Order: sequence, then C-alpha cells, then structure tokens
Amino acid sequence: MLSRLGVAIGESMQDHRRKHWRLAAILITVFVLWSFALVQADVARMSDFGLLSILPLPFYLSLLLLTISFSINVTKRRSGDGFLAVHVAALIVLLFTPPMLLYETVRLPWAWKHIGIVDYILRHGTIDTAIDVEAAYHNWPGFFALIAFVAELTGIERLSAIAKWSPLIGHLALLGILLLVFRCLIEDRRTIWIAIWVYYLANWIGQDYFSPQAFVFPIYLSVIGVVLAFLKASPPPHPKIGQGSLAGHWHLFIQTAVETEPGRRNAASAGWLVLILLVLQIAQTISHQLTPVAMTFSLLALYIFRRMQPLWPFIVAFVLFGLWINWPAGGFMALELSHLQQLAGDVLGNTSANIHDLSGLSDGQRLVAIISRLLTGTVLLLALAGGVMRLFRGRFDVSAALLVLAPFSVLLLHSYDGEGLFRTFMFASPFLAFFVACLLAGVTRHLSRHWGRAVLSTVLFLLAFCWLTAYYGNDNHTRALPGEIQAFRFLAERAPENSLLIEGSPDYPSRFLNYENFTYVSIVNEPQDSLDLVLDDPVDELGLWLDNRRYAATYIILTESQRKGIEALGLLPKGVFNGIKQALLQSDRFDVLFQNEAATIFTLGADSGG
Amino acid sequence: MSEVSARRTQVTLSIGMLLAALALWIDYPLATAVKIAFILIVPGGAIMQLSGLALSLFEFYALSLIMSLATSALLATAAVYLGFWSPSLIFYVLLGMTALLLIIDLWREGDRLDDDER
Repeated sequence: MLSRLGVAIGESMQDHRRKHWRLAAILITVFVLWSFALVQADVARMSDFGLLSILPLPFYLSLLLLTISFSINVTKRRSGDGFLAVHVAALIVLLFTPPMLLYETVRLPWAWKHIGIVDYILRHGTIDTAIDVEAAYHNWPGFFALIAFVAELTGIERLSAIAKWSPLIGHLALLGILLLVFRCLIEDRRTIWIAIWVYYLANWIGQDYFSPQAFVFPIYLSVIGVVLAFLKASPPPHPKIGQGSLAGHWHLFIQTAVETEPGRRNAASAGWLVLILLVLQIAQTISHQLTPVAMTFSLLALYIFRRMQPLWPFIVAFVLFGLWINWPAGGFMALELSHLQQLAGDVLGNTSANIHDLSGLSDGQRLVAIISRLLTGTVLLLALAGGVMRLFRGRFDVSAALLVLAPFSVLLLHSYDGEGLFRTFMFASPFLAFFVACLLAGVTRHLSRHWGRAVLSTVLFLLAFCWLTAYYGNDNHTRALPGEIQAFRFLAERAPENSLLIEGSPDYPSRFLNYENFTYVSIVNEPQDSLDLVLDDPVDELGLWLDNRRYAATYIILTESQRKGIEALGLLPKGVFNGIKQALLQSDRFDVLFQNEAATIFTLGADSGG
Repeated sequence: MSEVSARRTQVTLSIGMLLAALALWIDYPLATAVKIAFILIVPGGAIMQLSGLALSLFEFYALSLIMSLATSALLATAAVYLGFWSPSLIFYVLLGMTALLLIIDLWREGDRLDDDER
C-alpha cells in the first residue's frame, strides 16, 4: 500500500516537473521568436498602418504559440493559477513592451506634456491652479505630485524612464486586481482566466500611457474589487409581499441575482476596510476629473441593485468629488461651468464628439479605424451573446452588467473633449471581457476538447490581431521622435517667459520643460477663416502672427510628427504642410533658429521688423 | 493568504523597509532600486497585511502596489498644496508610517501566539 502511494507521488511529481519544463520550453520559444522579430523591425520603415507594418512574421508566430499554449492550459482541469498567470504576464510583455524597446523615447506626445507638469512641480515645489495652460492638471495634481516625489527621490534624470516603462507596471498590477474582481463575479476558474486574457485584447483605447488616467483606472477597479469582495449584500429574505406584484418580482429577481454570484469574503476588520477605500477614493479624486464620476455612478448602481450592502462607499465617493470640485478645483470649475452647462444632457453630442468621418483619413488610417470599430463591435456582440447565454442558464450577472452600463452615465454630463465614449468603453471593458469569457468558456465546454481549444485559440488570436492594429495603428504619427524632443528642449531652455509658440498641430512631443513660459497656438486648430489666410500666404500671415509686441519672443515650430498626423487624419491636404515649411525656409522674413531631420524652429528675422 | 505566506510577507516587508531606510543614509549599489521597490510595495503591503482581508497572494500584492502608490500620492499632493514640498520628508513619513504598521502587526501576532499557547 505504502509503496503504491510512493509510486503515485513519484509519478505525480514527475508529471509536475514535466509540465514546468514544457511551459519553460514554450516560453523560451515564444520569446526567442519575439526577440528575433523585434531585432528585425525597422522603425524608420513604418507606414500609415502603424507598428504592425514593421513587425515581421516571427512576432505573430510567437503570439500564436502563446495563445495556443494558454488555450490548452486554461481548458485543462489541473493547470494552476500560477501557470496561467505566467501566460498572462508573458502576453503583457509581448504586447506592451515593443515600443519601449523599439522607440528611442517615450511613445506618445501627451506623455511628454504630462512630464511637463511634473517638471513644473519639481522647479516650483507647488502648483498654480489659476494657470492659463493645462490648468486641469494643476487642479487634479495627485498623479503629478506622486511622480515628482518619486523622480526627485530617485534622480530626476530617470523621469523619462519612469514614463517609458510605467505602462508595463500598470498592466502587471492590473492582473492581480482583475483576478480579484472576476473572482467576485464567478467561481469558474476557466472563465476567470479567459476574462483576464480577453480584457487585455478588448481594451484598445490606449489610456495606459504615462497619464493620470492610467494611474486611477487600477484604483477604480481596486475599489470595485474590494466592494464586491467584502461589502457584497447577502441574499434578502423571501418577500412577504404578494408574489405576483411588481415589488414581489423585484425581490425575487434581486434574490436570484445575489445567490448566483460568489458570496462575500471575510473582512477581519471593518475599520481597515473603511481606511483602504478612503485612501483609494481620495487618491482617485485628487488625480482625475472623470474617474470619480464613473465611480460614483457605478457604486450607486451597485447599491440600488443590492450588489453592495452599505451605502457609505457611494457617499464617500460623492462627497469627496463634490468637495474637490467646489474647493481646491473650485476656481477651475467656475470657469468651466458655462461649457459644462452646454454639454450636460446632450448625450448624442457627447457620444459622437470623437467619432471621425473616415472619408478624410489616409488609406492606412482608414483601415486602422475600421479594424478598431470592428474590434469594439465584436467585443460588444460577443459580450451580449455571453450575457444572453448566462441568462438562459439561469445566471443573472447583475454586478457585471451594472458595471458595463453605469460608466456610460458619464456621457450625460460631458464629452470629455470628445473622448468620453472611449473612456467609458475603457471602464466597461473588464466587464465586457467577463461576458465574452462566459461565452467562450461555455462554448469550449460544449465542444470536444480539441475543437474547443481550436475555437478558443482562433478567437483569441483574431482579437489579438485586431487589438495590435487598433492600439498601435496611429504610431507612425503619434510616436515621438528624438529630433523633436531635441528641438523643443533647445527652445525651452532659451525662450524667455511670455513667449508665443506657433505649432503646426499640438500632437508632437512638447511642453515637457518650462512649459508655462509659452502661449501655444496650433495652426490646424485655428478657425477656418484664419486657417485659410495662412494657406493663402503663409509667409505674410505667419509673419503677422509672429510680429506681436505682446510677447517677449515669438517662434514657429514645424515637426515631422505634426506633418504625419495632419496628413494621416486629413486635417490639411497632402503636401500643404511641407508647402508652408518650404515657403518659410525660402522667405527672408524668417530666420531658422534650429533645424534637424525632425523639426525646424523659425523666428522673425532681425530686419523684418520683429 | 496562508499563515506561512503571511509570515513571509511580514518578513519581506520588514526587510524592504529596513533596506529603504538604509538607502537614505548610505548610497549602496541598488539603493535607488530599493527606494523605488519600497514606494511601490511596502507601505501598501503593511496596510493590507494589517487589514486581514482574505486575499490570494496575487490579489494581495496587486492591492499593496495600488495602496502604496495611492498613499504616496496623498502625501505628495498634501505637500504640494500645503507648501512644504520635500520628497525626503515624504519618504520619512512613509517610512515612519510603515514601521508603525509593521510593529502593530508584530504585536498582534505576538498576542495571537500567546492566546494559542494558553
């Protein structure tokens, strides 16, 4: 008996060891293929289709191999959480690190603008809530103060390294938070891990770069996770009201819904729970304008539908947000009030504010936009199908459904400069991923083992391909170029306070140093009649703009990212941007202050009266 | 977390805190990395450890990271608003707070062991 037990244990250990070796072999192959692909990728050859245009076949093979390995392991009964977590961590590295390794600088222009706010805090040791440019950041400074603290403590020269690698840390942290959230929604391990995988492929919005949004989104999910895990309502008692009445149906619905989700976990101390939620919610309120609104709506919805027992988390979110917009950010909000009043209630306008007309886009960008919409539509449809399938099985996933819908209430109030719809999709994406996973896990159980794995691998790989297109599709014009950074640094180190800076467009790496010294004017954002004057005679019109005695100095900066973005998005016809640049270069009225392969800075010539 | 994991976490957090405190006075190799690791994990880890919430190891470390960053953001923002911007002071406050939380945790652990022996 004992010897048989010993043999069984020995076999089990051998099996365990074999499994680990197999995983190691797969991961080594995946990363060898991936590294080989990245070494071959030539960023200079990137087309209008973004990063995908330079990624060679081995990159897709590595992704396919990892997807197949995950599909096999997630459908096995005996694969542990650690095993699956390693797969997801590998996916995160595979998907998110290519720009960190391929691009010489921090990827997106807005990340550079955020570095500028940190630079302001480091130089002044404070913020200016009444500042003219980027005032919102000074009124919600939590993220910037945190980064300034870390940068000064560890060496300011590391600021751009922090900005460059922060998305990777954010995504790895999200893995644990997603695990917490999904475990509160369902007990099935297969669905939980597929949901985590799908989340990374569904959320293509790209708000994970060095930004306040990327900082507070994990906080939002942490609050939701803690609330669902430790403050979930217990099933209500059977209603005494008549079974046929509306109230009776409501009670029955709530009771069934509560009973079909995993129960509340043990919280050793209510006091610590209050402290944790308070710290998280304050950090969120002081760092971002939009997320506390989404949080307030989500918590209210969870309370109304009895997914959260106490009301206080909602009250805390509501009161903190109300206090912040009335007191520290009161001055900013007073200036924004008329704009807010115009937008409040205009759901259609707020929803459609950033949906581009595809006709103006370049061919590559049109394809990227179509694939992005295809990905969004597919995720929504699969999620709907997953929800319906669960309903037919008698499962009311009320919490997940509420957390998909509640953030969209934000669109009642604001378009968020046209980004409202994308941001709400981002808040909803973990819960959409949950419903997609319910469908995929259900389908794999219905099919034979091999067919189930084949279907799962195919769907996940297709989603990954669409995600890569949607997420990296704009990189040809949104990727920051070292020459542009060099140019702006040159200017920022020399320009006096109260300078005027005319830019082709704001989408290039700028404002990261002494940013408050400039007033920024973007040519493409000017009203049409003003823009027409520039296009008719750039030398004369821009000469007039620069010849402005209100400013201590005046400059024009034209860069490659500006040109690529303007042409890709159809803001000006192809060739017009270069035409303006050539006209300025050939004119005697302007001096070239700085020029490299990526940027040119002009100022008025000494004999032109400027 | 299991009891063994909880004990290991307690030890890890304590070592992390001591190394971070040392990094303030001695510029040893990896001192910067230790400071960053401390800010990322230790203060939040100490809070989560004391809270006694039933969490898996993944969940514990993810929430520790978020709580650490949230706590640092609160202190840094307070410093910015109140006009005493001093990253070293913020770091000292974080160290002090973490030390206090870890001592309370050890104290409670001692009480629990005493109760078990009785």
